[in-house]
Amino acid sequence: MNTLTFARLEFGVTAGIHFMIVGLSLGLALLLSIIETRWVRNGDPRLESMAKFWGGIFVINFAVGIFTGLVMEFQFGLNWSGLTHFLGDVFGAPLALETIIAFFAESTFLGMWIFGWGQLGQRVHLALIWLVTLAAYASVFFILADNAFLQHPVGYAVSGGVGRLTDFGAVLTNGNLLLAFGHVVGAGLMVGGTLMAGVSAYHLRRPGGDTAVFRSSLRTGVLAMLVGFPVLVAFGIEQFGYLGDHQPDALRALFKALIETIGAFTMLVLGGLLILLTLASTVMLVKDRLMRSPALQRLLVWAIPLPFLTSVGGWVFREEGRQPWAVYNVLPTRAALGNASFSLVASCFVVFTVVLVVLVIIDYALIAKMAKRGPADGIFGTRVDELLADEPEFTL
Amino acid sequence: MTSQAGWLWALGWLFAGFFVLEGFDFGLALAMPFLGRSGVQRRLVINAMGPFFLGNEVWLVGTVGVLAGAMPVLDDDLLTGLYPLIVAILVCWVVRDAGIWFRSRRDGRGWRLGWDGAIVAGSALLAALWGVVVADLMQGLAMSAPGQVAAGPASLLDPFSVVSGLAFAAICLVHGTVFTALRCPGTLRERAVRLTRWALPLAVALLALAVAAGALTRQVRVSVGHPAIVLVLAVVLALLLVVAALLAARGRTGWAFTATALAMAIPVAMLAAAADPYALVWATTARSGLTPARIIAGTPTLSLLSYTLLPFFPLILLYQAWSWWTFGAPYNRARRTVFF
Repeated sequence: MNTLTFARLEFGVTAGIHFMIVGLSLGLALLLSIIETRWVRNGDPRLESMAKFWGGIFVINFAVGIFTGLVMEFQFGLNWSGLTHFLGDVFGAPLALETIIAFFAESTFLGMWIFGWGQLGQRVHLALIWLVTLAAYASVFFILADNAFLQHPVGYAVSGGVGRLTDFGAVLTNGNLLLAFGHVVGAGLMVGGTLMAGVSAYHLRRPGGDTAVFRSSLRTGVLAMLVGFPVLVAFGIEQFGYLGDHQPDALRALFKALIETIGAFTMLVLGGLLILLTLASTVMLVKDRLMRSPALQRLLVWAIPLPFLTSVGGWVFREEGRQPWAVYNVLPTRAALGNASFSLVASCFVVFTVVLVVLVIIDYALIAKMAKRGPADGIFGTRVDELLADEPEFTL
Repeated sequence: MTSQAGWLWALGWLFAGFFVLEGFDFGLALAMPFLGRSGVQRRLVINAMGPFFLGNEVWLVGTVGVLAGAMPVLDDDLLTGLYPLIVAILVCWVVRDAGIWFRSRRDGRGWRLGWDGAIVAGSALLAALWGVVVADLMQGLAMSAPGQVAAGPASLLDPFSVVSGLAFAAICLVHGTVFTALRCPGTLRERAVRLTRWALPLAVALLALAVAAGALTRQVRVSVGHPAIVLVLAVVLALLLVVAALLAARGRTGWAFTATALAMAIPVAMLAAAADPYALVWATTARSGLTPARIIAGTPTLSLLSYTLLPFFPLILLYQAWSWWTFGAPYNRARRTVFF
């Protein structure tokens, strides 16, 4: 165990949690936008309940994404200054674009969307959630541009010991980036769809839980899985081909490097199970047979954790496959390390891991509780009046 | 203006925006135990900043994004040089944010009190730690080898840094109470204005103490480039706070908030005046530092960022102004909703 181990573990834990959160955010944001669009179009109160219910889960999930994203953004400067001193000119640009173009808008508009329930006009409110969704996908694109640069560095030239940007177009059209982006978009739909279908199935199986909201959500969830998995698989298979051309070491190591192998097999086996479940659920959607099939509904509930594990497995496969390089064939991971001492990095790893793991557990427990409670008492639109009912002395 | 100078201005502008906006979130949370005497009242206080909370903290994300993109070397040296402080800031940040997001999601009294504690303690520490960061940067970062930054500043928590941290927290408190008075009518406004009256002398006294401690610290005398300007800025900051408190007491909360907002931006100007002509000062026996040319990204990266990001800066101001225009009016019992 040396400084490098802890710096890598620290980034791995932070990014791993972040990746689980972001996958769900991406899928739910799009589904939420579609649900709210349908509500604004036909005014069906069932759709309003759905938007508020899934919106609540979306924002509580989003919160932990901010924590892990923040910690990750700072880690580049804290632990990996070898990378940024050498290639910061290329690596930093997508980060700047992500924060200024995408995340600024995503945060501001999400705040307005949350507090806008019952206060803003329906169309403005709808526009806000679409802006949040658009910004979320743009954000993923820029971050994956950086990740793809690490996997397959393009668009730069080294002069005087420093890498300088030569072609930003090449960075943004990096084949590795486009394939990874498509793959993650499909994965997001799969994560969001499975959660939506699983939670709905849970309610349908309970006495009194068979409501229009959950029947409709179950359909939406299964359809999201159906749309998501071909995208996911197509871009996934393409990536294997790409890996063979550009990172042959990663493929060769697949059967020798233990962690990479575990990651890859987790992804393939659980992903395969999810595809089978998607196909079975889709077939059963015909004539609404899925609504009357307790066995399949039970499987959907059990499947809720699977896409999270699948995506973390896939991510471990991708990142471990790049080792021992920080920037493939250009900068060894050891050389990317900064000059913080072992004790500093190790203690920092322990602190971040404990704090983030505890918070993500609390967060998932809250989401589970909200999911079980159903849409009865939504978290949006609580009026100040209702709160102050017990405080007669207090004026506002 | 060269694009190099332009990006340094952009960085300062974002960092100042972060202090101005996040500053009242810190201060409001610091004031929360005095303003809100019941769980419901504390919830109202938190929700006074609610609609802006996400749009406020994103200014720091943007600051670090621009640092990473336009000044990768400065990004590394700042974060490495302030390593333990940055880690402490991140931990407090995450715990405080968790408090804000989680507290109202369950009903239990213990649950809510516990997270209220996390919000107050986290915000207090965050405010103080940012003051320490400003003070440490004025003294300069330590070197491990010539030109290479050491992980952790030379004087992490010397008297000057500690007093500066307390002063910054007190300034945030004034800013936060004025913001509460702006957004909350009735009982909360009365309490907020009363608290401003208490917080003002505390902030001014601590600021004076910080200036005195700085003048007595040898490294500060060596490292600070324009001591006269820094001193004048400190006086202007104190005056703005006094004016704000007077305006708040007369019910002119909008103007009072404008004054405290300006005051919150001044520490960034002080940093710039202290560092000039460097971007980053070293804590060495003779004054030395990294010039902007040494820390800025190459021309291709800078022009890329200039062309792509320039339209977004006014756009950010525009949509954040829209958010204030939509949610900035004082609480209205019947119409306003809460979330946090």
